[in-house]
Amino acid sequence: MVSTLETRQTVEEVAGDYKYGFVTDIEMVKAPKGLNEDVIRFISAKKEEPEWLLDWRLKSYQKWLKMEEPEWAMLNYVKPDFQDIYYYAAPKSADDRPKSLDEVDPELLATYEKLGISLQEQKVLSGVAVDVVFDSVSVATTFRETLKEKGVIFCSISEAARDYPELMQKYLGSVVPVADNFYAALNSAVFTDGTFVYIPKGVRCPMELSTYFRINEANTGQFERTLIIADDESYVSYLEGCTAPMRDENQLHAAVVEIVMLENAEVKYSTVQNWYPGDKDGKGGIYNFVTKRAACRGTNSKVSWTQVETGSAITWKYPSCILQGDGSVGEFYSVAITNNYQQADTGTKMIHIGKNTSSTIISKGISAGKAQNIYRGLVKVMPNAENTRNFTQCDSLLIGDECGAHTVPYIEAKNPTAQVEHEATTSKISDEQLFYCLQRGLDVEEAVSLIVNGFCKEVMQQLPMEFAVEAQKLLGISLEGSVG
Amino acid sequence: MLEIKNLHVEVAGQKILKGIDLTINAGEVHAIMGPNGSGKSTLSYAICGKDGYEVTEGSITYKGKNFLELEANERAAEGAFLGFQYPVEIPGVSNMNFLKTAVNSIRKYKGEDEMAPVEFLKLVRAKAAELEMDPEMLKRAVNVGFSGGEKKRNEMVQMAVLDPGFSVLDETDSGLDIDALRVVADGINRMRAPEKSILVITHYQRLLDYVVPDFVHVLADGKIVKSGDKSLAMELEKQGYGHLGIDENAA
Amino acid sequence: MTHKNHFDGSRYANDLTLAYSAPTGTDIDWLNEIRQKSMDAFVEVGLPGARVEEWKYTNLSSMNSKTYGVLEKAGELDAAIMAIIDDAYLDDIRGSKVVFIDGFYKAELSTIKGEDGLKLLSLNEYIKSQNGDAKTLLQSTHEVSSLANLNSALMTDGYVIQVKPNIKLSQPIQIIHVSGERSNLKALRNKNFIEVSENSSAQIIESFIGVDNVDNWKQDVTQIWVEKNAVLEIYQTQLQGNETIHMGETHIDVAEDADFKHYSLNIGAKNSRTEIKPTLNGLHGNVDLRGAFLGRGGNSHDVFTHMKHLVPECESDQIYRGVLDKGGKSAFQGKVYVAKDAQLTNAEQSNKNLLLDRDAEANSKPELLIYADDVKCAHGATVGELDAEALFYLKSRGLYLAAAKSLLVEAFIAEVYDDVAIPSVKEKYLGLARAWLD
Repeated sequence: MVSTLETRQTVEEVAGDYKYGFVTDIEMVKAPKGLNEDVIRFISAKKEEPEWLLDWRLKSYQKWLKMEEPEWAMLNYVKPDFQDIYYYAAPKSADDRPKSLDEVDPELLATYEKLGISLQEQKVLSGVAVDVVFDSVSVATTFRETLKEKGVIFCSISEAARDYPELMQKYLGSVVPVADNFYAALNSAVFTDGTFVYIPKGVRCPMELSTYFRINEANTGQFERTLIIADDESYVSYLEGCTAPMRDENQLHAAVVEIVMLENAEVKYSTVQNWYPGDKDGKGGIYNFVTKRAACRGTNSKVSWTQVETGSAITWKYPSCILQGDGSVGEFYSVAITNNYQQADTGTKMIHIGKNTSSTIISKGISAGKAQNIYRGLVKVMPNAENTRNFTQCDSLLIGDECGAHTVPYIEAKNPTAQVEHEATTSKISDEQLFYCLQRGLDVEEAVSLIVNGFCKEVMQQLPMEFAVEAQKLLGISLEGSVG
Repeated sequence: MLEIKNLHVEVAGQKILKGIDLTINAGEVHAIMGPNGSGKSTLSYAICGKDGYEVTEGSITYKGKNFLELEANERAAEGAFLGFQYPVEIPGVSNMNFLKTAVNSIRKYKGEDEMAPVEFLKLVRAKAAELEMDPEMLKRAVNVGFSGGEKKRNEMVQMAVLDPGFSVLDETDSGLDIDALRVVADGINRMRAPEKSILVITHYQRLLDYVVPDFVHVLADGKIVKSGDKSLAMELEKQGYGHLGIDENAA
Repeated sequence: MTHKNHFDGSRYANDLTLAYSAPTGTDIDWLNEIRQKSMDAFVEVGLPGARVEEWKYTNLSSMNSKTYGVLEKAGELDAAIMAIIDDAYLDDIRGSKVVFIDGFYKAELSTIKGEDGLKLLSLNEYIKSQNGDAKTLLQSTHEVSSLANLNSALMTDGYVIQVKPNIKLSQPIQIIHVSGERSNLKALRNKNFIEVSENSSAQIIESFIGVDNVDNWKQDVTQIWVEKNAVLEIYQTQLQGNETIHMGETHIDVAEDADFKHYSLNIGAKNSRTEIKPTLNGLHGNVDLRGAFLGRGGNSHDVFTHMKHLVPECESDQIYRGVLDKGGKSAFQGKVYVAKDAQLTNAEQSNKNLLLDRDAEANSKPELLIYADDVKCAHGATVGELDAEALFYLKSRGLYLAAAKSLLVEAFIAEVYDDVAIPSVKEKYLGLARAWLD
């Protein structure tokens, strides 16, 4: 089961465009390829999970077996062969999990340095605690002790299963039920790690929490699970980032994120997704099939999703808000950039259940090369949701005439006091804008990057500072070679 | 400094400029006047390298460099500035960010280091103050929601910050009231220096009351039909283009 | 073999033999062949269920438990039917009057006025009089949906309107469809063709009316060609009975410099489904779609448009307004497709909905599918209640709440019919809307 050579067999030469495309040579422990009950038992045993969690996984697996892969998205791809994937891959050293950062494999630390993520606490950007998930397992979590003083739990979900069984049993699967959809069911059966966050009553988390995901191994799927619970009157800002090596084959990433907010709680969830998008001819790249959902259970609770999606061959995700508590607020700010042969079908669902709930959707889609970019969103107002407000703005920018930009909004209103508004526009970077920038001395790529950043401004300004700068650069890099 | 020889330019297969010869030396201010459709804007775009303005014959050299071999941004970095007749809006991009990117792009082209943020801030604020621009305007998106006068003032601030060796101002005076006209004239006059040259393109001579040119050329049907000193502009004002045998409405 | 998420439709195949002779005496081999082929295609797919994306908001499951048979001939005329026809007829319009009873053309109620360059007759007359042309025409329809196939298999009549080149019709044509009690548990299927040739223009006023408590299924398919530099305006009103399932599917080919305008008002029927599918395939074509749907008491209206921009420099504009009162439900599904080569397209779409009651529902799905980069495409959709500020303003000027509401709703709907060129048609639209509000 130990394999290191195989890791490198299918690795493509690391080119300049995708700077995270390197592979780290680390000794790995893997479960046998393919999926069956034994593999699930293997994962559960490796994680030293309680019995109930194994049962939960097996039940999810049985449900998944009866489900069909959905086909409604406007996506065109070769469906994954679920028996040709490793469902568990962990750095060998994680078998005896390091007690402190000093024990973490130096090769691994170097990997994250290369990604611009320093795990040495003294070097970490001040005020950001990081959990790092490498292939299937969480390898390091920083600033744990500082957080513990405030009562904040920030750990890997495997640890939470062992150490906080009550919270886990109460909330796991309570926002995204195991049989919610095909990929959520798969994740429920095989999730290997992820992040667990609990913010106790009345606590404003003193620093940004961040998880950094990295797929390294070939032929592995990444199935992480994130659970965030914000108790009454609490606040947390959470960031996630993702990268993967460049490989010829498509790799599957099927994550589930669940957020629960109680009375007056607020969660800000930001994502900069930069999985490997595949090469210029559309070969390789990550299939990013993710279920993210936030339940605003308490009155006046608030969730804000901000996402900058530049990577992945295929992105298929709809971070959603269930606005159940009266006065709860849902926000969705999204930038999705597709270039070359990338496809993105992304958007949100705002389900208004409580009274006086409101939601805002700002979506900016940029399509270049031969890419397809789809906004798909649902705003649903249930009969008892008095005085609901929604505002949706979807703007698409096309660069070149071989790509597509599509907008598929659904509005379903069953309460007369609702005010739902949707607007959408489609435009291009005009020759006049481009020439104006060139005349002031900018080269074409700087000009495109500047104009695109301007186009996305309303979304970018939602990102925490630490992420905003990186995200702005990413926009430029993602569009390299798209004009001229 | 700027030397244009026998310049022929086509746009979408149509011949617009049909043999322009023009030499502008350091320290000189030239004005080009002419009726609508005579090719004035085409000349400014051809000098600055806009796509779609195809030079079929002739040459443009600036400080000895063959401009026709350079991209639009390279010409800008060499020191050519175009004040647009209709400055373009760029939503979401603040004036400040735009200028900073421009300044540093030009520095990069010249192999210089980026300007320190503090130094840049000082420079822009000083230039904005000189041209009586509200500092708040610097935070707003480039030209978005600006009035006609504000856009032209913004062009002047950009010119002052980028400090070009050669400026071509394309009908910068059109549609301005007298106060805005004064601001534009002031902006241009500030650029006058022994080592710099300026080309003012205008339909009317009223700007030339404020920016007194050393030479005036009349452009008609893609050719310079007459050249002279500032008195030529006065003459045109009094007697019209018809006096020179030019059909004012020929497009 | 029924497609996934579709209901089995094989029982309708039994009606084929009835359909062969249903249009009096047209038992023609080539036509029967078309019917058989279309029926096979329909049975292969079946009736769309609620999980078929395009039918998400109109539930046809109630149709699955029954069969709407083919009607062999129209019911008897009585005073009530005559009154309905009189009511629908605009007598200031001097063009031809074409009346269909239970899906069959009634010559004795119609007045066909000869006009140079105009051919206007029922589909059955057309088939009988010109066999060769009719075959070509009937084979030219877009049969992309299973329901269009069902129509081709079992249709019993329809109309053919052909306007020769360089003819501007002096008067609009009025077409009135009435269904009576005889059509209970029957399907009324017409297939219609409208061809407006180069440099010609025509206006058509079409009303669909029926009596209450008759469980019937009206299912029409219309194929339209608006040729180079031609103009066609269609004005529809739908006031079917409260148990009727009303479906109209219209395909329009819009040629170079051609102009097509379609106005509609949906008020009646248990379920109405209006499908309008224009294809812009000539430079500088223009399409304007305008419509309102008013629902209460079990009405469900579903407007489905599919605007295809295949060539550059065309314009399309869609304005739809929905007003839903107690027990009313609506869906607007508008799709704008801009092909890769359709640069400089200008496409707009606006759908606004008013909910007047707790027990009302509005759904909107305005969709943009864009494959060209130099285009101007925008859509907007809203759902809401009446503007409280405006209501207060009117009340402060002395209006009763009810009057203030009516006034605002009327204004909301009136926007749709601002550009209606025929005064009596405009008045009819506004009158019907006002009557619905009162």
